Amino acid sequence: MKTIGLIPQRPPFVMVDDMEIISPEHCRTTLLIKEDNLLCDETIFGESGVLEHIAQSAAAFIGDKSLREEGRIWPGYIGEIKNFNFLDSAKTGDVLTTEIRITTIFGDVTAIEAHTSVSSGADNYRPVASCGMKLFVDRSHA
Amino acid sequence: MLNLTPYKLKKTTDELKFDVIIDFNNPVFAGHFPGNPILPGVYIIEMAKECAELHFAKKFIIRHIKSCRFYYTITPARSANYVMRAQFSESDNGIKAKVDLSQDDAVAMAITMTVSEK
Repeated sequence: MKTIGLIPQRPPFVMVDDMEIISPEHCRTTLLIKEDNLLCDETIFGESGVLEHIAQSAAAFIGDKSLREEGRIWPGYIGEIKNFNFLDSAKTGDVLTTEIRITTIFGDVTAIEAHTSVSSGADNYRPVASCGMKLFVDRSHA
Repeated sequence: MLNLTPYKLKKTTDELKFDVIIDFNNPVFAGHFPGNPILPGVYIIEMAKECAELHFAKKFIIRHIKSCRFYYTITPARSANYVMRAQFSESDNGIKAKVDLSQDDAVAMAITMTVSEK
C-alpha cells in the first residue's frame, strides 16, 4: 500500500513510498531514492536519510493502525534512537527495503527495531543499517 | 553537504561550542509538517556530525549511535537560536562524540556516537 496519507509528512520531506503489512507487529517498507531527495548529498543517501526513512516507515505502520482504530493519524516525532549501526550508504536509483518490528506500545510511545538494506534485483539484499527507535505520537493536537 | 539544510552552524571562541540558527523559511518545513513547522530530528544529528567535521577539519560518516534522545520539538514559537556543545575522544573505531543541543540551558537533544573519516 502507498504510505502517503498514513504519515503526517508531505513533500518535500517524504522518505517512504510503500508498505506491506506482514503481521500486527511486522511490516516491510520501501523507498526509491531520487535525485531531489533533500537528504541526498549529491548522489549519496547517508545516515540521516536512512534514519528518517526508518522513522517514517515506523510512522506509516503506526498511522495505518491509528487510522483504523481512531479514524485519523497524528503528528509523531523520534523520541530516542539506540544502537544505530551504519554499514554502507545508498545512492540515487537504489531501492531501500526496511523491516520494522514493533517491540512495545506504551500509550503514546512505540518502540521498534529496524533493519534496512538496499535491494538490487530478485533476492539480492545488501545491509545498510539497523537500530532501535522510540517514536512519540502527539495526540495533543486537535 | 546536504542540499538546502534548514540550519547554520557557527564556530564560537570556545572550540567545543557552536551557535546554531534555524531558518524556518526553508522548504523542508512545508512538508514537516503542513501548518506545524518542526525541525526534523535527523537534521540535529547532521549538525552534531558537522560539529565534529568543523572541529577536526575532516569529513566524517556516523558509524554508530549508542544513544540519541530528543527532549522537545524545535519550533518557531520556541526559538530560532540554539547552542551545540561537543566533547570528543579517540576510540578504537574512530572518534567518539558526545554532543548536545540546548536553548537557555534546556537540552533539546543529546547524542553519543562514533564517527569515522569518510
